[in-house]
Amino acid sequence: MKKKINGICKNITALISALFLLFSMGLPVLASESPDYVIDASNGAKTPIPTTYVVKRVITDLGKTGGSLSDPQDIFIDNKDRIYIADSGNNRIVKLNASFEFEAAYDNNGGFSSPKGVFADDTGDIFVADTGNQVIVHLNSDGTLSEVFKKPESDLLGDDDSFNVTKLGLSPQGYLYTISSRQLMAIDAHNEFKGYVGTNEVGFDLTRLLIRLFASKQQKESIIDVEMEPYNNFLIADDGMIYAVAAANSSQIQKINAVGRNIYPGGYVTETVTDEDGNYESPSFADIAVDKNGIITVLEQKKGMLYQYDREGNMLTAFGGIGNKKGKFVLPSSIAVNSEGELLVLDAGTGYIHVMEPTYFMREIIAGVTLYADGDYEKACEKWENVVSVDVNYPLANSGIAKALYKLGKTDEAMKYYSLAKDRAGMGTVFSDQRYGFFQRHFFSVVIILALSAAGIILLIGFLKKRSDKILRQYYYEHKPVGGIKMALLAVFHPIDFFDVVKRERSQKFPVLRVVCLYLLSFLANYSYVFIANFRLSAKEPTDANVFLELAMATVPLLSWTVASFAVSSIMNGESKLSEIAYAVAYCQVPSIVFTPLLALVSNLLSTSESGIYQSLRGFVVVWMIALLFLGLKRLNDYGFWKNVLVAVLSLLAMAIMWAIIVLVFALIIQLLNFIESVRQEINLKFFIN
Amino acid sequence: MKDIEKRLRQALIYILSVLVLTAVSGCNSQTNDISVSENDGILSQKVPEGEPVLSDENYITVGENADFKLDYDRAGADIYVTDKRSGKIWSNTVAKDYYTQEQDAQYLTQLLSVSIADKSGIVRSVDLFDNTSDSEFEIAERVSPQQNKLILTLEPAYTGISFEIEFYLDDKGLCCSIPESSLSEVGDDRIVDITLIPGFGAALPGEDGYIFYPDGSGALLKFDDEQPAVALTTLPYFGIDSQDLKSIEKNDEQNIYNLMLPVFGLSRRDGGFLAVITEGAADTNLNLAQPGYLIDMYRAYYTAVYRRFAAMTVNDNDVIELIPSISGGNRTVRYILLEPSACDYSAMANAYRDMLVSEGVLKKLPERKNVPLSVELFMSASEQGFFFRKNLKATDFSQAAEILEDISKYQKSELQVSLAAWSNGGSDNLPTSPKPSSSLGGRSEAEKLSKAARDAKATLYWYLEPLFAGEGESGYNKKKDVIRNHYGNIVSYDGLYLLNPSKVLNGILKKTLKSGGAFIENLQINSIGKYVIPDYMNGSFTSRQSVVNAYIKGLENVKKSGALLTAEGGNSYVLPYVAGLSDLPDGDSEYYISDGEVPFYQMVVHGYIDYTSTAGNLCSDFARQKLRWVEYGCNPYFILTAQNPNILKNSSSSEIFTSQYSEWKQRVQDTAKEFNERLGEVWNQPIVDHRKISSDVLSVTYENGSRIYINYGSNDVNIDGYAIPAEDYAVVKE
Repeated sequence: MKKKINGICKNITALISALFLLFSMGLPVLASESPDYVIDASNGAKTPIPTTYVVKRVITDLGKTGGSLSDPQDIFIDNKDRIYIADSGNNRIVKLNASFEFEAAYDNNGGFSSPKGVFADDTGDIFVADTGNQVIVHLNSDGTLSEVFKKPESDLLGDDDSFNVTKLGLSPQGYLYTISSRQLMAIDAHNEFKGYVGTNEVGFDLTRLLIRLFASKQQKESIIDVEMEPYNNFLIADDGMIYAVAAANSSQIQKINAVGRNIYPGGYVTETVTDEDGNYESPSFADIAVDKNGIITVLEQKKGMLYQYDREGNMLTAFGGIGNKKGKFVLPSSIAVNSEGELLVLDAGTGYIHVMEPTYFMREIIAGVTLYADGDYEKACEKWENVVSVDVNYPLANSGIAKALYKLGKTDEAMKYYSLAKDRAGMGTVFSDQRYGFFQRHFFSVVIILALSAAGIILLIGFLKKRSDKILRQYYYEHKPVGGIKMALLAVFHPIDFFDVVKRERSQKFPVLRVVCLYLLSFLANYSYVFIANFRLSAKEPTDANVFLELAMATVPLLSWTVASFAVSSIMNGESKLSEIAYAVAYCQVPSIVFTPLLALVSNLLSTSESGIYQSLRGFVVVWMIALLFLGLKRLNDYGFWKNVLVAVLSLLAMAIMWAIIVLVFALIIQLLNFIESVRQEINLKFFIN
Repeated sequence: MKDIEKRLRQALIYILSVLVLTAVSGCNSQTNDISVSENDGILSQKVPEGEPVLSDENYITVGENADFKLDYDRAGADIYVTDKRSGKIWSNTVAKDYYTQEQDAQYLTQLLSVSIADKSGIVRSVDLFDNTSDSEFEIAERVSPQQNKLILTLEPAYTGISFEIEFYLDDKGLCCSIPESSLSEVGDDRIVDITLIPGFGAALPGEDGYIFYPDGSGALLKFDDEQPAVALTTLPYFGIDSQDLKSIEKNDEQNIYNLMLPVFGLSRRDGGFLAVITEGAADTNLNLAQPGYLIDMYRAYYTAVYRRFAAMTVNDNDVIELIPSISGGNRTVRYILLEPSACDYSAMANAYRDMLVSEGVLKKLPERKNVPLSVELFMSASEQGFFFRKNLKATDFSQAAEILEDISKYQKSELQVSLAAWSNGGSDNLPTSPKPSSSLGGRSEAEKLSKAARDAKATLYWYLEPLFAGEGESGYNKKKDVIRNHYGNIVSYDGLYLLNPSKVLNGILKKTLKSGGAFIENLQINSIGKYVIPDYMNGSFTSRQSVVNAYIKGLENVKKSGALLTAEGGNSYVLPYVAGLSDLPDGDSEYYISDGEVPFYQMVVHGYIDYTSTAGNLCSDFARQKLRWVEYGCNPYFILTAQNPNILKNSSSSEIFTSQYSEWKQRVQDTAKEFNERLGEVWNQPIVDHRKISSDVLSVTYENGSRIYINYGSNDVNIDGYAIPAEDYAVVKE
């Protein structure tokens, strides 16, 4: 018996292995990879790129007079490249010169308590977020005390005395901006509150709506903090804009203009991070730096990564990471960029400052981005060609070259580079032009082909309709049996009669093969869609195709519906049998089987701007299928309309419950297997290892 | 009567105690004679006057040869090696009176430390500071004057453990050895590791000098007086000491390199040493201690590892357990003592090279006046197709032949070609029994390519991966041949398995050469020059050193078959068997402790083995990489494909950024021509000196006296009357 079970297990294992091999996702190769990458906006995949930043030096010690940093929290570089560090653990502000040599340390006569933010103006005056003392301290350039800003008086700031300042900056207008209690606010020179700045947009939330409707005043006040999503850091750049990083789930990178609106494009890509247990979390952006070209660098603390974006939100590079070596960080806390484009990364975990300089490849990327943004497309193209000579796949380079080629009228070549860049919008623009050109060149041929196609489709539909009418007549009057394809025609052209036929044929043997074939065809239609549909309009690329996922998507919802609707209709005086429902539901896929591949073909004739029409057509097919399912439920059980609605809703609920139970059982099985495995390990440990 | 007996016994104990204390104080006063003086700000250990003869009865002169003399202090359990050439005395101990402020002053005189695990796996450290009544060791010494050898038999008290340490002189300096046969464990206690002479050559912060450690190409840790980044750094030789493939992959991704050569060194103004681990390197760790770790001095020393710990998670709890099997073998380290006039890292490299040459490990390359061109032809990868994975053909066999033919038209000298991803599945396949991919032309085209390579006078190396295997591959037993952890679980990661080389390596190599006999003449072997991963399975325990021994056996057999070998990664055990080394690091791992990278590895092997580093087309700055090749003496190296590599964008080989031969042909041709014309004269010469002249300018001197100045800066410079253009180099012939 045991052998038999073993044999079965082996066969199953072999089958799974064979399937694995058949649809193998490829084996990973242990090879040294480039540490830097960009994230593909279309699918979130990482694309390795050549090294973009290298470590110029790591400052581990500031010399005998400067000592070492302890839990440093903020770094600021002024317009003369002098460096200021909030050395929080040592309760002081450290100043380095442009050559990274220690110049001075200011502790406000021992008065600082865990300062977490520092800023220096053009005259060398220093502003310190003295977090522990809950004040902002203004020091003269020689480190002597100038003035102290306390929590301003304002009804908007609440009654408590807390003023948890962490970061700060001074605007050209002389306003002092600071993050206190995680909100970005402005204070004037007279220590008066001038308002909150750039509050995060709060999306719709049902709970919040209910609170607003029904909560008391006190309750509403107590949840204000929850609603206001926090800012982590900010800086005021040379262009006068406030660049901030927020802890919001969206708009984490913000560029706030004079009227407090975030004008940074929202399409930038971020990377998900996982906690120790592998659960996905939102990235935590700790700081932001902007160079003279408007290139934005943000620091993500959980992964220790630095992400760089251009003014349009395109990712230029991702580099850094957690580690114990130069260029890797333990707990990075702050970043700043100097006039040479060197990035200084402050590591609170080690107290070190990593100085990273761009490589030739990165310098060319920045030049390309900057020239393009300034409208010098030809020079930008030269830079992009240099970039491509190092990495043929660098997305922005290909996109940049494509744009330049497009402007020169070389649409075919432009399309090639847009395709390499996976630039859907660019591809759409070029395709529209190409299609327009084609129409112009072959106007009459196109019109004739379109007319003939339309006529052909009308004739075909007419023919099939007549054919289905004939099938129906033959069934009712001549009692001719209706086979597989004929049933499909009925499902499309005479859905009500189709379900009646199913009901009348309930005494016949359940056509297993036909049902399996329909499910297989549905799977093939959906799977082939990934490969046939044009990238301009398709969300998936062939490389994203997953045969198991497509198979599951083609079968699981409908099979669940079959079981759930049978279960509900059984207790709701329904008349249908499980086999009938299964048979009917299988045929409800006919619209998808027929139209999904056709729409995939059509997508090759449409531009990105026509995606609305295209997606509507796809949605229509889905609605058609749902309508068929609804109709089937009604006809097979002979329900009235409202009762049918009720049963349909209950069936959906039953599906949800069914899946909840399945997931629960699955989780329990996993737990059980883990338990058995741990028992096995313990037994192994106790009795066999030693 | 009993009382009298008791009193007598007490009196005896008292007398003995007084005697011992007297001996100890005598020893201390004698130790004070070994004083530390500062000359011109340089710390050196010197006997104040006269010859370093230690007259006290506690001192034994073990022996001497033409250049060195070995003494032993019984009471202090200290060794002294006098370098007669310079008068410098090397010792494990540093005079106590100089460091009285040290809280852990006893560590200044430490001879060794043994980590011992008890039955429950709890580890304690037993240190040998001196041979007094407080010592935790029973010590017995034997001297063999004929061999200039001192043998100490050591028994940590109450452990049931004993072992022998041998200190002896050879013509280059001191050797320290722990013979395997001397290890004895009676009872439950087990030896975990032994650290020997940690204070040998210890230096003060602010001294002029550095520790050299062989991380990647080589790195220096200077004796500066900055706050040290990390107090103690411990690094295993020959790569990460773990079975965790995820950690190995992470190390690769972060460019953490191996200590490929079993050496470390220390350079001071009054002399230096290069320590070479001649036996048991795979089970040895290098320790780099900075001020603040036990004492305020810089130290470089080694630890012989005998046992390791296994870790696993049971019921969400981390379980750490001592692996009972011992990593055996003799452990020997040879300290080559260097004179003050030549004790920098160049001198260390020269000394090590001389040693390898004298042992027959390195053999001089034939005379030539040109620079070989190294090319890797990348053949294929795969990506998801409609149902099956689709082969992405970057270069087929006939295109490869065409490229070789074309290169041979302008590269008149040596052409070294390796062929990657040539079997079914391309780079996603790890061929334990490879067959030429049918989509690339199959066996017949592979044979034609071999012939074309011969016609082009190219040496063609076929990639082979004999260490890792994919889940779905044949050619190995998925239960018996794979490496397992201590708990019996198979070591795997993402469908990737590790093969136990002692079981399968020979078979794979033989099979490959036999089945591919018609076209495979030479092999490029991946992984085995880079990874040493033990098998902890109870019953088939294979230590790291045994893994290395299995590698050596396999490589020996390939060499005997007449096939040429190149290896990826350059762990020293591959050196006697390879004609080339690929992808050698041209830098260090950039640990915080590093004060600079040096081409130590390259200085050792240049002129003896050809090698490559980063491919010119995979770096972010080709001009800079070319200068790096010149400085490190690497062959110009390109990874090429016939097709544009954008077809690989969605494959696992997307890191091939640019490689199309038609795009790169001109640069390949120009580089080959430039190297041949400017560097051909020096290329088969050993590098005897490397030094940094300024932050951007370096010089490299070859054995024939030719010197190359390399200027990485963006400004022209003039050095010693020679003009070196910006981002260029100048070759100055003798």
